[in-house]
Amino acid sequence: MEQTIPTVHTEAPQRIGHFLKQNLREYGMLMSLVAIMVLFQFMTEGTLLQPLNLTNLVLQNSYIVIMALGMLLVIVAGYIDLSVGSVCGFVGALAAVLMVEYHWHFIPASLVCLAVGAAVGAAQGWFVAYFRIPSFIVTLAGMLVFKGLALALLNGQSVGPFPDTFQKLSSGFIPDWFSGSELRLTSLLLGVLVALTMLVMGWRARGNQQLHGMETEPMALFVVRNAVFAAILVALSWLLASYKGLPNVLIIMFALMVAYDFVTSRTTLGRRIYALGGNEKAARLSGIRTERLAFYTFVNMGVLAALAGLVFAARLNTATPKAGLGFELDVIAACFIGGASASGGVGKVMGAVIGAFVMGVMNNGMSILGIGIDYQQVIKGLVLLAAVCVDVYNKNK
Amino acid sequence: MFHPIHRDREVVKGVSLNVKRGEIVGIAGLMGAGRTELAMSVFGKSYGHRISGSALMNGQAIDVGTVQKAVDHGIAYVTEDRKSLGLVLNDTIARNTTLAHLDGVSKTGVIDEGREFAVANEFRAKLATRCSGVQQLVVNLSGGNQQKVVLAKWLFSGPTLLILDEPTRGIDVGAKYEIYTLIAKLAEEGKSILMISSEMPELLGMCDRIYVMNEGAFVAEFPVAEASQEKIMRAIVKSGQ
Repeated sequence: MEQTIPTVHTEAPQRIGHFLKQNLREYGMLMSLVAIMVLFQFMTEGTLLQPLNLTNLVLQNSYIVIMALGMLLVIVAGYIDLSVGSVCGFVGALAAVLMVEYHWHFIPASLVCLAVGAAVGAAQGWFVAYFRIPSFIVTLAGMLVFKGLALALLNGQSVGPFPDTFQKLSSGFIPDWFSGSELRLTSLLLGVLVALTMLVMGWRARGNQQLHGMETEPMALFVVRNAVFAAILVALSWLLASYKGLPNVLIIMFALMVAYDFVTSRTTLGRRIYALGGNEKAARLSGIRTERLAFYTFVNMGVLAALAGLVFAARLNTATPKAGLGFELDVIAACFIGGASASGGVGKVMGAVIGAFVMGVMNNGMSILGIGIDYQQVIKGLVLLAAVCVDVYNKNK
Repeated sequence: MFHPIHRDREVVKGVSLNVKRGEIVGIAGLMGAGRTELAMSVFGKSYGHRISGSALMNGQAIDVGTVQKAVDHGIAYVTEDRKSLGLVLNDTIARNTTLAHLDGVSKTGVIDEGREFAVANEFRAKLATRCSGVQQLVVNLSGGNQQKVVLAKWLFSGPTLLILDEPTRGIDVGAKYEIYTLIAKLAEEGKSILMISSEMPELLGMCDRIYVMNEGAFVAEFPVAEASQEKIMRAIVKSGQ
């Protein structure tokens, strides 16, 4: 009988090395994001982490991150959705028509937009799940259809501006209850609170793992990782607090991130999605209703694409026929940079988020450096290829 | 029950069988006799279309229209094709073990990973699965150990009727013996076992009763004391004429 509790006797440094090697993917992702940020911080002589620029960085990437959450589920389930960019633009156009031309209040208008997103997802999901048409083809068709519908809705013109209250969705910041000082205290405190919560949760999860004799992270690594994490969180919220505070959209994004991370890693629903992508037939023979599950991942994707469309429209303050153009590629790239597998069954929410920020920091940093849009695309393409190459190499080793 | 693609071809016709508590019943037959198709059509209508017939458990009619319903009624089907139908290869032993019965390790949809770990370890010990730990990926296991993971998955779902489709296909002698011992033990515990196999010595050695199937129909039924390889083959050949 082999031992259940692994190698308590091996020496500490060896264990840390072993653990790092096993979890290289997760740490590697985070480290490469930090490395890229440090690189650009250095090259732009400190502009990257200026409070103003950091705020912009969050605002610019929020809609990509929001869509990457849904896309990760779709990719993990073994499908792909090419229509998200068009849906995003279409919903933005719909919001503009409702709010600007028909003078709807922004709350019912937003709800209608989210419902339309769900309906779009349901339509595509129905073809994929029940009619068994490859998702690549269904969503390619969707991409054309909704790009066209957005044009039709707007009559080929830009529509705006939106009501002030709606703009707050993207350009607003959380209110400061301790007004007066230069520093937005509420925002800073919120950042500290989140960091503390994460520490407590991490500690409790570790306790639970040890209780059942599972392999846990070596203590030293656990302390270092959490300390670094908490420090980064507090530092970022301090930087944001010294400008205008935490943007509203950051709160939305963060809440969604936490929720999706929880669903994918801790719930039976998440487990079933991974099984569906890993081996659909085995999943079905294990009592998982694969069709319904695939259908709902597309509905979910539709809702998130609609939300991203609202955020993007609110940020630009107009709906243009070109909104959302090429977003799907950024979103899909974020998922693959974040370690998702094109064949399904593999990928993590946090990976996709980090992937989105890797792309975002590169966009932002290269723009500050004055690198033209031409070479920016070349570099981004190569980074995507390199990230996946590293993945494949690690797997084959 | 009809073929899923050649929609007019009847694959299994007029079959009726029973398995008693604690009994091991075998289905013998040549490849393509329709044994797997029969088992899968009972297990949540996973094969074929225009399936007709009824399933009774303890004298009560039960609905086995979907896999989930079949599992809820205590039926488990261990597939003959573990790689493509039985396991999520790119996943851990622990996650594969609990896949068919996630409710057993979760509360209101939230998985208790500690409990899952404990369950996986319990079955690993019970079936003597050889691995470096239950967090190991299933793809890295040998055929026999993969088969044990599939068995663990279905045992964890708490079945009263276990359908084993070629349970020892492609695995080494040692693991075969362990699986035979396990099957005998399960029957002793009162589980009903329906075993499909192409290896006649295996059926003759394990079963209490053997049905012989050919071209989608049962052609003979023997208590094991009366059965022999010759008799089974004769029944098959005779029905073909």
